[in-house]
Amino acid sequence: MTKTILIVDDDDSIREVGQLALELGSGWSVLTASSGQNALQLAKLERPDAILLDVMMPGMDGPATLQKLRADPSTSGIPVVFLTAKVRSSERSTLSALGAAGVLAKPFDPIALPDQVAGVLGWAGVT
Amino acid sequence: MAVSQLIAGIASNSPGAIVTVVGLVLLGGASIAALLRQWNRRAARDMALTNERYTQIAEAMPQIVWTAGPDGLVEYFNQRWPEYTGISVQDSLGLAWGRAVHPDDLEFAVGQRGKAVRAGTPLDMDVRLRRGSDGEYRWHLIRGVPLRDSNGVVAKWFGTCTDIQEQKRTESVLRDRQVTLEHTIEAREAEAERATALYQLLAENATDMVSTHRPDGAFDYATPSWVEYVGGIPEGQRPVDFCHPDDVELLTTNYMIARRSPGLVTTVWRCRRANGNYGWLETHTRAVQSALTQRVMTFVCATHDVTERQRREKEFQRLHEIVLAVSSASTLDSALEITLHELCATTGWSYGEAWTPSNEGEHLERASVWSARQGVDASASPLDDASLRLKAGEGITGLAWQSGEVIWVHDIVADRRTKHVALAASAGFTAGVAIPVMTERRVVAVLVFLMPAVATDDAGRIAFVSVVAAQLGSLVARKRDERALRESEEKYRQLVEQAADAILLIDADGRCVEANTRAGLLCGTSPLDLIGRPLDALMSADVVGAAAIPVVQVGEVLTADYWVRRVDGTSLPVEASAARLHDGRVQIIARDISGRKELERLKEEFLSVVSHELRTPLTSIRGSLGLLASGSLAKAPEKGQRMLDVAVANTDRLIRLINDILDVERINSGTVPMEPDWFDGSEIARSVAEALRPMAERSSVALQVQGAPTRLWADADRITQTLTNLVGNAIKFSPEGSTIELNVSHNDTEALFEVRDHGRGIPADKLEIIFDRFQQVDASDAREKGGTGLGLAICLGIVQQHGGRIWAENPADGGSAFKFTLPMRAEVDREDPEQRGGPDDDSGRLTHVLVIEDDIELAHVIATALESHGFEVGIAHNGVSALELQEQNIADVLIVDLSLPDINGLDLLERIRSRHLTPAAPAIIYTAADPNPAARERIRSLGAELATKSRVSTEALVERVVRLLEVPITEPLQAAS
Repeated sequence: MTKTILIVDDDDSIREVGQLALELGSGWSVLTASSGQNALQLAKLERPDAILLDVMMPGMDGPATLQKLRADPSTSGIPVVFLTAKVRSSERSTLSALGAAGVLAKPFDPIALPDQVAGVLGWAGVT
Repeated sequence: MAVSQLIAGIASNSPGAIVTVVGLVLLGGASIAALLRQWNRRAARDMALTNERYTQIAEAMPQIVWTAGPDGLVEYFNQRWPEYTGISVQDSLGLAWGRAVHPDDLEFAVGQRGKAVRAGTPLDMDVRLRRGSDGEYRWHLIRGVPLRDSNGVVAKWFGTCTDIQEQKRTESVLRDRQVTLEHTIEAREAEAERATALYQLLAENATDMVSTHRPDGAFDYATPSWVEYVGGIPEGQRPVDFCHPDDVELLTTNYMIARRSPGLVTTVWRCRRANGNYGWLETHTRAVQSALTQRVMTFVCATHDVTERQRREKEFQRLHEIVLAVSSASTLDSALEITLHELCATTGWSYGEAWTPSNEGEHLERASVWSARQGVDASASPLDDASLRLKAGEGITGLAWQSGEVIWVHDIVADRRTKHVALAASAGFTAGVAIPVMTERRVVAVLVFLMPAVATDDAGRIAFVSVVAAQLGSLVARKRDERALRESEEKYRQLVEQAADAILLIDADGRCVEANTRAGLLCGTSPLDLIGRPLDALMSADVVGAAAIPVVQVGEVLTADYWVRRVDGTSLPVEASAARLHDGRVQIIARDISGRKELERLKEEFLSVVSHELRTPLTSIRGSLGLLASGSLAKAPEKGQRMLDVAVANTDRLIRLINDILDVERINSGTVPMEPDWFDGSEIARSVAEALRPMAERSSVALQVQGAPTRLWADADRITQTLTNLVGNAIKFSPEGSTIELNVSHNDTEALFEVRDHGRGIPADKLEIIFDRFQQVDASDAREKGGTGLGLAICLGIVQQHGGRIWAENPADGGSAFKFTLPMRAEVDREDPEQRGGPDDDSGRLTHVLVIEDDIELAHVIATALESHGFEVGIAHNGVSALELQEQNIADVLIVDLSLPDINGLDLLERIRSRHLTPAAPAIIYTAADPNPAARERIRSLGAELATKSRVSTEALVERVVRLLEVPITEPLQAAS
């Protein structure tokens, strides 16, 4: 069954590029959300297999969104991968400790991205 | 053996006479009879002393008495020996007495004894003997004398052992006190030698006095020395008859005590001597009872003169008192005064002066004088002459100052080394002495004493006075050290108080014992309140943890960051250094670093945000280009195109972002200087509106500009940038169909720019922080509206660089208003150009300025500035063209560079002047380097003004031109057009 993945990022371009990269490289069905609030609604509605979550977003940021997802039984089981421009190891370990399945760095290689996401989530290779 | 010989021999063996008696006792029957006969002839007529009685006398002696055979082996000790040594007489005979001798002295003692026995000469040695009662070794003077028979052969040895421990101790004390005065000690030693010689002479005549008394106290027998001492003892006289009235009671009482007790009773009393003076005597009295009746038959007394000892004891006591008095003096002068008074009183010297070096140390000045003698002619004192000063080496005073040694003068009048001749003549002084008071190697005062004559014991007194002088010197040194310490402490205290850092002193128990004002401020209380608080309560290694001020060793300084716990419960980060002082306390210096920490935090945050902001467009660029490069979009050209658009848009965004980051950094750090110029603020507002009108139209927003001409002295480009930012933001956040108003107004002090929109407004809590970097009202604005989040931060920097203010408001009727001010600069009043004159003179001709400057750019800048103020300007880059131009159009003002390629500026000016082309034209010499004095003089003589390029800006130069012409400047050309 085709996996569904939700990309959450406040930057239009990144959403667009990310969506295209995943669709082309993996064949997953890709949903996008431009804010934490949108992501919560969409996750509840669509129950994606994984969420690729930006960290620095206006209003509800990545960690806050993750907390809300975990608090809601209908979304608490969805694995979340942070996709962040925060690159310092201390920042990344802080994010990991929040209960994310993994942390991927921006900028990302669009060709390698599907494999990286699958690797973090423990999914079978996409290529 | 002649008795006289015996007496003489024995007499040399102190204490003398008594030994004679003992010797008599032990010589044996026949000899005793013979000796007694002779003795009786010489000393007493009807004495019937028995052997028992002689033994009693020997036993009554306070000293140890011994006799020995010709071979020097001891045959007898009196009871004092076993009493002292704790060794029985039987066990000490022969050479066994050596058991009581100190091991270190034994070899010496045996050797001395052997030497005396072999040579048959008197024995005289200082040896330590062990006291049986406590094991203490005490110094004893052991003396022995050979007793010869009629053939001159030694028949017996007689000797004594006298405890001289106290004497030794006294000598040692004296030595300790006089370490600084070795020369005086030498004098004392010389005196001691003389005294020894004297003593021997006196001993020949048996100075120690032995007597026996009847039960009523009357003299029964007295040695010749006794008789001589008091000048004859009539029959029936008692010691009390010679006694000083004040000591009669003591003497009488002690006789009564001796009568009742079996032991020796010692009395120190004053006895009237043959010469009428009183001498101090120490008398040891023992009562001898009849074996039958148990009644006192007689008193046996051994007496010796202790006048000298008493005097010394009194001196020591006095010395102690004087030292105490001197030590308590607060100044050198009062110490000197006390010293003079006390010393004269003690020594009996009747006149004393104290001299101290002047401040410059060039001469001595009198400090104090003291005279005990009534009738001393004060006017004869050299001190009566207020101006008297002594140079080094002048008089005994100056000599003592120069040499640091005691200087004596034995005949003041004949010697003429003192200034005291008149005084000596009038008051009968003969001798004088000057004694330096030393502090380390420096003489701080000289004491001078005068006396009728040098007495035999004056050397001893000098020693005494020298000790006082040494004390005085150390007092001065101590006072000086105390003052230095006080000053240093005062300095330290001031330093601590003035320090910008908190300073705490912590004792060994970890409690605060000192704190400066800063420390109080840091902890949020008064410094006094900190005293006694444990360090744990004041500082800790982290906000919640216990104190962890490390154990720091003396001489080590540890620096680290800590937290200060303020009394209100909050904490402050500090950088603290701890150092252990030599007294074990720890000094902590702490500096509030909350500002630095905050700065570090902001920097960290800024870097983090910048990093994020830069990475965001890069992510899109990298992603879109990555997809294009992979070729996976080859089959979807419209998606490929879309990715290209994304890459281009984000590249533009990245460029804007980088520009703004650099801009905001440079403006805020002040590294980009503003380039001010005169312009009309309302014009700028209009031109900004024009430039942004297309953007406004795209958003269907109207722009409205209002404003009166507002002349400003500012960087027009930067103000344009600020207004563009503000109006741009307003357009972005304005709803379609709304109007943005741009107003410019001013009062006397400042101009006000106002950009008013009717958009969504700004939340009250964001009004201030929106001017911080990357602080959009809504971060997504940056993406949606294409901003970088730095625009307002840049505006803030520009306005602040101009000395203005910028802020945002939420007007009551909605939307938002951004306002900023710029200070107005005073301009020369130009209301009435006709009266005041102007660049346009009466003939209507513009004022002409000739700029002679080889730097083409600078010449252009100056010309532009002048033209903008309505001047007509000519430019010449060298002397030749300057002269040509002058012929065409005679300048009203000349601006001349000092160094031109073909001619010196001053020479050029001289030539222009000499041609009478512009005889009265003012000139400004505009020069890069400061001219030398000759050039300055020439500038003055040419009637020119000097302006240095480094100090006088182009604008200031124009103002000078205006002032020279005494005309106001006109509207700048661009404004007038």
